[in-house]
Amino acid sequence: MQAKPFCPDNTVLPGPFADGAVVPVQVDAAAVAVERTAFLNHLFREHYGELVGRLRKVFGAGPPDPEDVAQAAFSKLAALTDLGRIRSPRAFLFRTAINIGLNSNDKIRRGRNFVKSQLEGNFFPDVEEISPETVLMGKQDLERVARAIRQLSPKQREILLRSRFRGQTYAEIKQETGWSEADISRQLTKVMALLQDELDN
Amino acid sequence: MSRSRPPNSNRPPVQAGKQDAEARAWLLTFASEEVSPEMERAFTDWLAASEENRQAYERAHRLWEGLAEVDGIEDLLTDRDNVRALPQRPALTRRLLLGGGLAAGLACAAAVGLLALQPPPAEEIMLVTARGEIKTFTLSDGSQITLGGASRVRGEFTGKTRDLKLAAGNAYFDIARDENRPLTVDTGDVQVRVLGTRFDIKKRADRVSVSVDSGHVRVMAVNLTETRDLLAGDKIVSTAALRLGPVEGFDPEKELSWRSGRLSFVDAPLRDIVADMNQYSDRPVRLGPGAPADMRLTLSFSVQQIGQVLAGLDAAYPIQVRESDTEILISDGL
Repeated sequence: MQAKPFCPDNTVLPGPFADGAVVPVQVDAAAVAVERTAFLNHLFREHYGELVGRLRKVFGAGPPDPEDVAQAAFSKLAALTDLGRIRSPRAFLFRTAINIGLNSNDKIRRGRNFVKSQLEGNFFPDVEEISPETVLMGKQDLERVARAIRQLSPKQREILLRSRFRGQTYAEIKQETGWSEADISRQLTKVMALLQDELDN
Repeated sequence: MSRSRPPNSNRPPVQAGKQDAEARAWLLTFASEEVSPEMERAFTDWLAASEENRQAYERAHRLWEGLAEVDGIEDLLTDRDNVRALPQRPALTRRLLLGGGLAAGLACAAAVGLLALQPPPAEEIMLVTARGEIKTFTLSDGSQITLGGASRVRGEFTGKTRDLKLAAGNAYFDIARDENRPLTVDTGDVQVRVLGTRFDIKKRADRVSVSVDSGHVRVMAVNLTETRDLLAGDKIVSTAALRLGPVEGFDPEKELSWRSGRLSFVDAPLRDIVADMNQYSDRPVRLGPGAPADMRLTLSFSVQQIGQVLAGLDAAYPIQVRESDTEILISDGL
């Protein structure tokens, strides 16, 4: 085997394989697999601990268990064909983990799957199998949303956390906070309108 | 309303289109409720009705999904400082509620509905005591709340409402009167509503007791229309089995003496005494298997003397108390 098997800029390596059309391709495929595993290991080492910590802030001790969800998110990551196109592995892992966590609530899972089936291959890609090239929002948009979230009242933030991140139904939020479902719905609708306005303006 | 209109569709903001408001209403419906097949069909119709609808849904969906990509969103939404103080608060709350065998929601302050029209400012309240600590907090409205050991009160004051939640332990509330701003304390099992008065709430694993020191308090059971009005000297105990129990009297000397660090029990089961001790003991007090948890005792002691009291119980009753560096274990002494 060549000492330098991976050739990033596609120039042909000098030496005995230089003329062979097939062999260098095989070398590259093997090298890509090795690189991929190394990259996944790197991502795991780099992000797993922090991901669990972030999830713990959202879920507490669970359920869902932050470690279970983090591991499931890494499984999704490892199943992607093109890791190189994930803009931010950290953001991808967190969003994937949060969405996996939502599925632990039976009450909303059915509706989520229904929406998924309605949207699939229709006008934008499936939510669950978030393809790495799907860019939901650019960096500036994300910053604008963050700014707008800072302006929300503590109550609005709590409702947003419980709904979007913990996947609680209005009934469940009511049970734990005492706020009425109508109020929770109104607040959340208002939050979404405010954030959308921030993006549109 | 036509069949394909989204539920809960709010009046859209001036700049945004009608489709955007409808798309948000649909999105939030699917995110937050159990959806019936009829609503699913209505959504399919709405989505197919126009290209604008589909695009609006895509926008709302991008935002909803994208929220999870906002850097540090978990800190933005949980308020870092509080989370550090109470890392397991949400899970604990949920477990307690489920453990109590409770099904659905709480009665809710009627005035809360007006909040949607009100911009912040809201004042967030987070009161916490450590094990063994008894502390009085003064709030912005002049109300004073004294927390027993290992207790937590959190909540929010707005221009219209004062909402508190006793998340753990016990507290004495001396609430400043505000006719326009009723105050509620939610314990998970019952909700207490007042205008201004003094009362005591103790939250235990299996029940909540409310004792009124002065004024008038309305107590509402969770998930029921059941309410009781209590006056000074009245006490009520709510359990999962009994819901709201009968209104009874209490001895303020004994019921409220914890504020000066003295715990008093009249014909109370050992398990309750141990539960209270655990709010103050430097080491956990544990009832071992076979310990007479239902043995009834009448006792009064300082929270500083828990060790001596247990030693005394060991001598006087058929129980054995073993102290180690990590815990105090009570077991059957026979």
